[in-house]
Amino acid sequence: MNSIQNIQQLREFLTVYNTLSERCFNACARDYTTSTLTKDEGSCVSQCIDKQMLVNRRFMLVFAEQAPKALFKQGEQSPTEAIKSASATKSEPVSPPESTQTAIVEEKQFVWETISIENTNFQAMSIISEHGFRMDGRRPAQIRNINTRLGLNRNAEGSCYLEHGNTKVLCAVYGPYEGKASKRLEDRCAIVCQYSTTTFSGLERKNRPRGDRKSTEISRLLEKAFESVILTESFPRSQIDIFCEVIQGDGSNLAACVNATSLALADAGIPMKGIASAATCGIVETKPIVDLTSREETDLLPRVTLATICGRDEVILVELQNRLHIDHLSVVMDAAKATCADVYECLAVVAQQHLKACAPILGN
Amino acid sequence: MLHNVRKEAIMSYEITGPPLVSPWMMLSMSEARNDIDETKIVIPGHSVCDAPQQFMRGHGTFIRDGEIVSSLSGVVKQLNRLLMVKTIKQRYAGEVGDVVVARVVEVQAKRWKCDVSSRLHANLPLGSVLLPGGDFRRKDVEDEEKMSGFLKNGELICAEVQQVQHDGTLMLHTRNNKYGKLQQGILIKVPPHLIKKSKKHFHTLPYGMAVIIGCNGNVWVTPALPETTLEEDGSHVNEFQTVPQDIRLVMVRVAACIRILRDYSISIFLNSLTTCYEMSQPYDIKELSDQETSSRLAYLIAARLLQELQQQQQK
Repeated sequence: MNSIQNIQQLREFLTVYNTLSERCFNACARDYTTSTLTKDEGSCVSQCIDKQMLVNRRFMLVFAEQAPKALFKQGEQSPTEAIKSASATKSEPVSPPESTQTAIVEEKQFVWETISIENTNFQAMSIISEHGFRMDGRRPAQIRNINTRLGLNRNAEGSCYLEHGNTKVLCAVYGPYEGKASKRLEDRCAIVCQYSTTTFSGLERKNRPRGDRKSTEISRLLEKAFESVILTESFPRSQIDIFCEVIQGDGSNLAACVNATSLALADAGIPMKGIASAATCGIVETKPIVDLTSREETDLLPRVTLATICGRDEVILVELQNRLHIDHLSVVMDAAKATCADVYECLAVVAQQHLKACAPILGN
Repeated sequence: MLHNVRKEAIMSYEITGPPLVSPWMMLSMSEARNDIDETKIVIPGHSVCDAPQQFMRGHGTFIRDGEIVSSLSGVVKQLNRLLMVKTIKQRYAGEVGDVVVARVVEVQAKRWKCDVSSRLHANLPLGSVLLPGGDFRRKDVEDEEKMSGFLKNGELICAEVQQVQHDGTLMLHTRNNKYGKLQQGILIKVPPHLIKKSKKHFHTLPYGMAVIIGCNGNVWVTPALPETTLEEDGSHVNEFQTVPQDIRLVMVRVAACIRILRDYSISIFLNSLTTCYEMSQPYDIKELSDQETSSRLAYLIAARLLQELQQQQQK
């Protein structure tokens, strides 16, 4: 931690130094015929540097004053006040009540740390604006627009295209068919899942669309989740293949894949306990936010992906990323569960409508 | 695909995905369809009935918290007190007596493994095929050695489902002159739910050719039914015969018709096929794969078929 901090401090110092020297060079250097500075130029440079340094110092002071106020909301105590009140009332067992001086030293350190560290807290703050909106204009408990098309791939038994806002996923289900002998199970069907992302799906262009650690992990998660949804005992010695491809990844990719897969399975007419729905939830300062976008996911925000059957209390998949305080767990899980129920309502309507359109004209 | 969506629809929407309604859905969602009761359509996890004590749970259902719940996406069917769910779209599930068009995938000892696009490969035992020398000839080791001479990997056969085993494997037989190896023709794969079950699946059409509508969704368009390819001594004819060009053109047109029926999810049986063929006459064969022509044609065919159905019901 210390070395990271040092490196970052050094980096900041260097940028300040470079901009300073460049500015003063542009402002003062006039004569390029000699290698030395002329008298005028020399005095100009020293004045310039003095001025810039003064400005910088002033900035630092103002920042140190204002940062704690901005970091903590008005209703809550600022760390200074919190520690002071704690030491005054002596009700807080954690903070050492010996002297206010140590508290002040700690407080100072804390302030400087928050300033010098990569200001993560600052980013976390901006996820929800002061008016209670997120970056894309949603409320914290609002999901993105869901848009689906079913039965697009006529070669697959079931297929689905699903959008959660800008996250776009294509899913195809093949089977159940007599698959590879190595995968065959005598009592139930094997489920093989492949998760892949297009090379242009993320912020950076990828070289490998599949097979890296992250995709493999998501594939396994999907397999395990759908093994508990599909009534696998009804197809002994068969295999079901699920292919998920993220065309555009804008956060909650796993949740979008679960939703797309359950719709594709419903389209394929495979018996299931119910339609699974999933949602990703994060937490910002004890407040849950649902259906995260990729901009919100890049923070060190703790986030939970939860999948349930039929929006009920049957959990088939939980994934936690980053560290989450135990007190916040129930809050996030409740929010995620409620969101799963909301998403399920959307998926159920889509599946039912599609089913009617699928029925053959003059069928049996 | 976009050119098939109405102009007004594009103006008001921001299209971020494929068209809202695929062309094939447009037809089956049109107001002409009133044969499906929407309240009876269920998806997995939907409750099938309110009073579970009065009903027995049937196929495609399970019990959750004391209520009968569907595990399939389909239509609820009631048979006295038995409630079951029938899927609309599913992989082929064989029934005894079905005519299937299958492809040999493996030659094993005493049997062939065939792909019938079911969830498991079907078995065709050596004892269930018609071999030269009559029905009651014992199949011996010599026959076993010559098995790949009769049917090789990748060859198509037409067979009947004799038995469905408890794990879902189908047992086939070709013990009839009309079944056996298929040699010259066009195979079209359609989703099996589009095949309408009927008494006859072999049809000699009045256009000088024949079709076999396999219940597993494989439709075989052929110049003549396979029984003519068996000679009097029972051996298969291996030479290919040249088919006259006019018959070939008819076959290609029938194949194109089947593809139209498939693409617009109109069920496939003799009447729909002949209707489609006759209504396609004003067009060139190559025009039939054009989306504009095919969608117009499919709409007319569906209207005609539904009208005929209504007239039949009134009688």
